Amino acid sequence: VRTYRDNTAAITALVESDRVHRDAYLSAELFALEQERLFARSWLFVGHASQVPNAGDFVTTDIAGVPVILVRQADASVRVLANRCAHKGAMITSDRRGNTGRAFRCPYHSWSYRTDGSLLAVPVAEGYTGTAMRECETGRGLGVIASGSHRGFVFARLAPSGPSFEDYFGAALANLDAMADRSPEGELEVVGEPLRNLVPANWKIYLENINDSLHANITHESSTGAAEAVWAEQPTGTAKPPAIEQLLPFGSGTEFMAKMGGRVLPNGHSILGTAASIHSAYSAIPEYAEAMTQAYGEARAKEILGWSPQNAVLYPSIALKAAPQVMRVLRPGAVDRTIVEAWTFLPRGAPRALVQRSMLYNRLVFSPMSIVAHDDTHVFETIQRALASNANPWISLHREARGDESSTGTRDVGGLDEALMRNQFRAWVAALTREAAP
Amino acid sequence: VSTAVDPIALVYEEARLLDAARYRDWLAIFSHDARYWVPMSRTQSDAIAEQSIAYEDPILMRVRVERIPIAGQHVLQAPRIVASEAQRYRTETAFLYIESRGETQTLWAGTTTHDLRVDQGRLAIQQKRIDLVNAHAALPTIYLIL
Repeated sequence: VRTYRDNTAAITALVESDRVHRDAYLSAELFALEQERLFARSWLFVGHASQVPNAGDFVTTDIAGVPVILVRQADASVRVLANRCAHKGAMITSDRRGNTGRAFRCPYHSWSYRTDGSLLAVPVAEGYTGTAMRECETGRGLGVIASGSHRGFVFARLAPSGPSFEDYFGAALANLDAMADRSPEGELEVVGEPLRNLVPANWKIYLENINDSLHANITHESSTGAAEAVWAEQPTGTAKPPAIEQLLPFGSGTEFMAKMGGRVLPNGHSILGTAASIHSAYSAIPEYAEAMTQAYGEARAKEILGWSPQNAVLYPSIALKAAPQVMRVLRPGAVDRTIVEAWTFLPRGAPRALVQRSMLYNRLVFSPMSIVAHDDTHVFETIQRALASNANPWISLHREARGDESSTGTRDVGGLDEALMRNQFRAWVAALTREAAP
Repeated sequence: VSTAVDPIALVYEEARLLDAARYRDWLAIFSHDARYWVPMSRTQSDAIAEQSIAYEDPILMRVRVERIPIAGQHVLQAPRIVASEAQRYRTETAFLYIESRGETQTLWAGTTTHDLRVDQGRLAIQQKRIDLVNAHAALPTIYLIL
């Protein structure tokens, strides 16, 4: 069924100023259009430079359904290549990471490529003399995908044309600085493999929840309640374990959430928790505070550590938490299936205790066994199922939707304002109603 | 044979208690310093330096069982004692674990390694390590206790 592909008016009609039509979460056709018009033309997170320290080091992933390779070049730059042999289309590597030396070699017929993607050698070379192989796409080797990076975070844009990296993110790049500045050396390092979750829901349900401050103490009542009950049973004088310190703030009240503040940025980006968040009150690690003060001076160190938003979203692929130093990456797989990765960063020059706190947070909150994520996943599943009902085809985003929000600039809002979600949908409809990608 | 002294009997009893949803009794067969560990790979040797799917002490195990609403079934292959010394045993047990939630049934498979030791006159679980065959994959929610 082609309800939307050739009908931008129908797409525009899905997003009103304060509500969204359910088809945005249910239509396989819209998901295909999202891949082509939104994801392919957005700058999507691929990997972090610290994963590929040496020439020939590579990691692989999928962005918007396309297998790609992030690889370190001999000149120390990084490139993003299509993981697709120019010959028959086999993936050049199925490994998640490795070092390829000076060349990639296809496991099917041994076509080989330099790490910059160019074709190095083909087997039975004489079979190609006098053919047009070298003069077409095949001869150009592995496709080089446009990439941009900031503080080691590498993003790629699949479409050959579209907004530049700097224009697309603009002031939102400061959220990557807020992560990296938490290192006394100003540099982050990825720790191990991310935890990977298969979420049976549309990616937007997950992403909107990242900006949903109101749900925390309601949806997570049973997990925070259990944590509170168990903590209350501990003998007085027991030191509060870091896990309890991380779980209890999920029960923070609505009043707290209202005051934490939000900020909408152009192109769907946002920050929730500009004033405070449930991560603000983690106990200090004296050795770390000292290293930060030495590196930045007291005032700047205090400023860096005082900034701990609930979530900063670089739309549409990542959400960052500066204080527990973690990042979620959304990799949509189908209209009702999303892979969510939870990444841990080591701030170079910081004590190990800080990394352990990050890893603990990801295990407690973003693991397939997380009792907190259980609560959310259950709700996401029910949304995906119940939206099929004809009773009401609309999702409400009315909270504090007063007046005209059509300007696309930066704006500060309250912590409970659904403006952050409305802002995402403005970016969404703008992307989906552009001309089809070249 | 009493679970107080027989490691094999204790491994079976542990699965029985989980499937019977007797979570308080389940917690009671762990030592006070026990760990429940689901690593991300079979070769993982450190639960903290490398990320784990779960790594819980008795406090977090308590939090987990406080809120469990659903049913599971463990099917164990005969446990094998792979190491023993005075008052300590290590057993390995291949398992299938079936979790039922609403209309959905999910199958998990792997190997459990129990470290058991005599604690106050009876055997207790010091560590339960679960290696899933698909620990490397993007996993759907595991609601209960492997």
